[in-house]
Amino acid sequence: MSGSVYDFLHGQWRDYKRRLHRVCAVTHAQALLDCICDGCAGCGPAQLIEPVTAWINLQVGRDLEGRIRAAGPEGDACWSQCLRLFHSPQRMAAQLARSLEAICAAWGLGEDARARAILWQTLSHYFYEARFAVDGPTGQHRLRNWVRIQRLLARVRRDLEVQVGGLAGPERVWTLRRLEDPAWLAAAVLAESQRTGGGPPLDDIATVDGVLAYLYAFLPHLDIGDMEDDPALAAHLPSDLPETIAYYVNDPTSPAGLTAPERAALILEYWSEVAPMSDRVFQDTYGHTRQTHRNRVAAGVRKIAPWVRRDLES
Amino acid sequence: MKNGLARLTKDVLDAIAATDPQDTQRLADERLQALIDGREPLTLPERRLLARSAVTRDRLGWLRHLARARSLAAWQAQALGPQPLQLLAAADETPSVAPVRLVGEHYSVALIPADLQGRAWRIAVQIASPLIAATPGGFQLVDSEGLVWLAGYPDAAGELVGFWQREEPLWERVHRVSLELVPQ
Repeated sequence: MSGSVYDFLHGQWRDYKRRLHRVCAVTHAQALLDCICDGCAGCGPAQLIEPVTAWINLQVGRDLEGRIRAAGPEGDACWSQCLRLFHSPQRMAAQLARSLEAICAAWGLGEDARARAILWQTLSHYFYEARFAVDGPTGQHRLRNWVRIQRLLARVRRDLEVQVGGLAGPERVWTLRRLEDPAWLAAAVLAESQRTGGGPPLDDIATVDGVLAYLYAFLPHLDIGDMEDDPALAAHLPSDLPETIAYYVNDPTSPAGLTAPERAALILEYWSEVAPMSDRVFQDTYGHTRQTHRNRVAAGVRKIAPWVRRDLES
Repeated sequence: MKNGLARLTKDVLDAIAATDPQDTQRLADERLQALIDGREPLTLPERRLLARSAVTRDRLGWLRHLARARSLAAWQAQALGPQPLQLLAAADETPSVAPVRLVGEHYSVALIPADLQGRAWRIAVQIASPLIAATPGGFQLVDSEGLVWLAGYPDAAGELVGFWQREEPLWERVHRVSLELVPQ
């Protein structure tokens, strides 16, 4: 492979990040979180290398290799590029060690979505650095554009902070959330650049699409997962899908063949409001560990999935 | 429970995606764009395709995100950006549950009680044509605490209509939030 493989200006890097998010934060997150929180809580970077290496080799690596094989030699090369980014378990372990306490605190209380979100933020920073390590320098004109966008971003942030000066409570929180909204930031940066009109025109940032590409390429904390969690997507799925899935959970005679503990775990997980609690309290309350609960939920979901898929194909 | 079932649905679809390494985009960008623009809802077979394909859902998510960014940029470029409408002052002038009408630049909002107790409300947003033209992906009426009151596409007369759907009385919320029209 020669030259620059991650052409982020055409959205490639965003596409890679989306794929990495699905593999790391959706499909294989539980395996990593179990290893680093239940088996290695309080570990330093050196002790994390082994579980991280095992996770890469046994979980992520096998998954990506399967996808690369499925794509074939003439197919989509993106998965191969994604695999290259897992080249340094040492650096990934060092990055994870910095957030381990926050990740495992959330995981330990059963705040799984929060734990996954922090995990993804952490891995995003690793991938950001790995991209440069694998791909080499970014190029002078892109860096110059980015420096200019950073200046514009600082102005946008400053203006918004002045605007929220008189606000408090949820209103302030809601307004400041714009600073984490890539679409809003890109539009505001573009407008700011057109207002000021200073400096030479740079073709890469003449459109909002261009600004977005830079934001995703240079701000590792911008969350790609929000797009997958967009609640509006659910409105375009078959309207009876949730009821069909509920049938597989609730009806003991359904062909999914859930065991009673798996069914109970799914009902607890998705039908009850379980407050955050420690592992010990969880065990005292429900009679088994949270690890057992998570395993039963995952097994139940895996049993239901092929039947739902079959229904969708019929 | 509704949120739980939505989460379970997502987790099951993610589990399907995890076992399908050959997943590819099943609906073309043009078709997804027609959906985003509100021109052509998905048929049932297309909805099933979308459910089976994480790649297609991710693509739809990205195109929605991009459409929103483009609309926000167009609003800024054309100085269309509608300012939030302050509900407090309008509501204070009416001591008990009563219709509220707010008129802003490029849009206006009418809140009309549909029962005597003020539990049911009709919400109507009248939107100016330049704003509609710059927002093909549709609108959300969102309050200053982030709650979406209404979402969708305006009709031929430029009106977006819906009903208050929450347990919390609208009249209580009216006294602490402002409303803003944003691209959805």
